[in-house]
Amino acid sequence: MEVVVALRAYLIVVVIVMATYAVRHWVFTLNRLFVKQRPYYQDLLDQQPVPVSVLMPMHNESAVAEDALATLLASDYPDGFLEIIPIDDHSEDDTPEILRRYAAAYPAIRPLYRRGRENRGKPSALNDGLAEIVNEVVLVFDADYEPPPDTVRELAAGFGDPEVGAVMGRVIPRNTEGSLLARLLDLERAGGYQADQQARYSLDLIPQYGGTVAGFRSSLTNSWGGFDPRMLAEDTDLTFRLYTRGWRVAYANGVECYEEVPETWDARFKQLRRWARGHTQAMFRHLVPVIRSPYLSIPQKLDGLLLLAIYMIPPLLLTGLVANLLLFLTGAVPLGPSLALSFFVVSYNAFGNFAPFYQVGAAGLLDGMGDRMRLLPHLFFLFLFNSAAVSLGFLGGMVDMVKRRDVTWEKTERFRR
Amino acid sequence: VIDERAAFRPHRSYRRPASLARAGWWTSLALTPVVQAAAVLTRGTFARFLTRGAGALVPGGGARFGHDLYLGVRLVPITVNGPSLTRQTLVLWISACAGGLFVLIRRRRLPAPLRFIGVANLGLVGATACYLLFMGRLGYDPAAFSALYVRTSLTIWLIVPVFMGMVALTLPFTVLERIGLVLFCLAYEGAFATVRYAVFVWVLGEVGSVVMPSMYLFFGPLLDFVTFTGIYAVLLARLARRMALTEGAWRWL
Repeated sequence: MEVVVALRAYLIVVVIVMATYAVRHWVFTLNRLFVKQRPYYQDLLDQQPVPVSVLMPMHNESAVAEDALATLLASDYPDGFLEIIPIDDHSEDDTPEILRRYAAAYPAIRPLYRRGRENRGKPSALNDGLAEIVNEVVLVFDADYEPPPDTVRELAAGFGDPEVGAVMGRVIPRNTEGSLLARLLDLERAGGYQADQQARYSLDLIPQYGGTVAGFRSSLTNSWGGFDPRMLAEDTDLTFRLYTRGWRVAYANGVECYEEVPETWDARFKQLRRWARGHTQAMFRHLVPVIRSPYLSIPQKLDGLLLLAIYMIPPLLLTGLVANLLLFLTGAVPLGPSLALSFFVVSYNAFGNFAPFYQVGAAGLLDGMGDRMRLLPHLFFLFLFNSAAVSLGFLGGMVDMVKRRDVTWEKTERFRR
Repeated sequence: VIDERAAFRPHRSYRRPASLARAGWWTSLALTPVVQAAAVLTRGTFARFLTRGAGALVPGGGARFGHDLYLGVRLVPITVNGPSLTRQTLVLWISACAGGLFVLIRRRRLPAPLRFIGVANLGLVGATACYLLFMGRLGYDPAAFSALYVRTSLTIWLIVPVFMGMVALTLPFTVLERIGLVLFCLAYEGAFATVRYAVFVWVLGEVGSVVMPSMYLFFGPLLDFVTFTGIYAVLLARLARRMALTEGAWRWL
């Protein structure tokens, strides 16, 4: 009998947590659609350009490296103000050759070659890049990104505001014709950026630095010794380091940059698991600092805590379903919480960026996606898949914390044809 | 400069709907309790439609009805008598589920989400068979499950106006479209829940209680909300087309 009471209580707790997230995203959606939005720093675009260093970590990126470098070289940022530092991180394919060829042809490209060191992965690659530069403004792009010509100029403009510690642009999938998964991820990204990030920026909450199509002040990261090589989510880590020290992240919804999303389920599974694991590490590191920070307002603290805990949603929903099963087997299903759980399972189907369907729908409307929005109910089929990947990553992050073990970086597979 | 900008369609990053009349939003919000009250008033009709309709649809006919009282409504759930499951039958179920799980996990031809759904349902059925084997009985017998299903459908009927009403408020629909969305979901729920009830009753009568958790936890309320999302998506696509063709549908930030 006590077990039944405990299961019911657990189910009710899950429903309360999910309802909190549902209301949060409902407010974000209403804000993005119906309230005047906060623009990025368009009025600073004509300011005197500042020297910018672009860091681009690469590991076996021969399929995409040339496109990324070519699009960066086509940037409209003034000559002499932009240096591009591709960081070859122990590649075993043609990536080093490509970098050598481009470095010989273009003086703005100064590649770094990492060999024979213990720390592999993006955070330590960025640290090596930071050791090579003197510029204050650093932009980061992953190797599968193709920034349009004005991206560097627009992202750099945000640093004209002395309160801004980092900037973040918008990520848009370019390979949506590749597979149904890629099209579903396109919907998910729209919900995450067009609605979620923009609303959080407008509401002066905590828009997230996402680690690519993004930038930060090198003096800040250098002041705390660079990125932690043990973190799989160096982006979330940086976001909260900045906010808890009184800095802000500026979100540029109009700075659209194209990326390649996973086209296969295996690649997506690994990517989600890595994100969840890294985010869980960041959650344990920043939970207390967020609560204690004197620089954050109450709404920012609340948003920060919900953001940190967002990868707990899938494990919560899965365990909620298990509790529901046990209650069913014992003949004690509480109808209200049980139905609410079903609603939240369906509602939170876009797990990558954790946007409920109504937020994804609103973002799709703003993006002019048209008939593609009919795919929305298909996101439900991702539920168990995403939940399994995120729950495994969440557990991995917990083990990382307990055992203080080193992590290995798993690169996302590329699909460029 | 402002006039020139007005001549352009706002870029997607800097736009939001212009056509939304605030009065329309508030009117919709005010009408939500009215629609909710209508759903409460018609709950008895819905319950009768559900049970009598399903009774007429069950193959073979001749459905018998029981009695239940829930939320002030006298319900008449269909009485179901599934076949009794012997230990041998349960062992067969467990073996079949284990075999199915093995195939799904080892053979990766099916897209991953479908494999996960298959694994989840085979796991549910297998776990239920194990539970029956060791505990002797489930918390719900087929007759109690039938009553639970009717109660669940009635509860969904009652919460649709609030849930879908709140969802409809997030989009620049007209008042009529918002109410239409809620009413369409209610009508669909009536038809969908009735047909599914008939299918459940038939399946229970054929194979017994071992499939009940899968029916309830996967093909039960979850599917209702998926269909509501589908209805929302169709209306949303229609709205998107309309806004794409309407001059002045958008405004700058």
